[in-house]
Amino acid sequence: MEKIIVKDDDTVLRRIPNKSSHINKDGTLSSANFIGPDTSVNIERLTTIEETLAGYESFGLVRLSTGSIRALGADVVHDPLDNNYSHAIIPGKRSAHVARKFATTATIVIMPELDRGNALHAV
Amino acid sequence: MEATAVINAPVMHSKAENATDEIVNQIMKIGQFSNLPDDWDSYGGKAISYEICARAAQYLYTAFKELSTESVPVEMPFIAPSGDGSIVFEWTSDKVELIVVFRPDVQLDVEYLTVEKTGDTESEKEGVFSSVTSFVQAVKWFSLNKA
Repeated sequence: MEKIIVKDDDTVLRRIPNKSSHINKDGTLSSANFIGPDTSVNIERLTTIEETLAGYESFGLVRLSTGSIRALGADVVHDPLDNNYSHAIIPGKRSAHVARKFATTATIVIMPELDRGNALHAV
Repeated sequence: MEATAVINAPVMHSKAENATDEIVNQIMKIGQFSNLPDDWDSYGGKAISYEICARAAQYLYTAFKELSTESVPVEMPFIAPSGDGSIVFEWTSDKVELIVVFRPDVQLDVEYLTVEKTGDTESEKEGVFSSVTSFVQAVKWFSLNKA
């Protein structure tokens, strides 16, 4: 499968779990969303918000810019899957420092619908 | 006072009782992480092991117990599981932040990041706790510097 070069001005999308543990009380994202390893994302110009959320409609969605990811010493590498050509990874596990920066630079596209019926909602 | 007046009086919880309730709730939440199935985050997220849950709960309880005896008010952290099987504690305020990551690696490393904010600048320090005592000191540092 042909791989593209991910540009600095590309944006990537990542689902965030529909659990209150992943959104702070003040609406900011938890660093836990980005600890890794090999954080999966979708390259936005190769997909849509609807496709990224397909099957996970209650999840939230955040957007990161490749340039800001690379400025923190990480990278974005196209890693197409049979069922998702837009798939890419941010390789490796990351420190709390980098995960925190990802969390603060990510923009929330769609807030998750918190799963009140799930016992794990509380966490 | 008649017995009925006592029965009908509102139940007053002391600060200590409320704090105890809070730590019990937080430890129960950590315990629930061990029920997470594989792929809980839709990206193949690993289940959180019992060992990681136990370690995180033990650290938090120790901080609560030791700092309570020193009359240091302990704020409970924001607690979240991560896709690699870690548990993350986050304490945040306008002045300081403390992030602690309980890693599921062989050494069960407990990493930390402290952030001090002054105006538009941030000063960060990263490391690995060598013991639960170091963790307790970091929580104390946050508690005393958050305001």
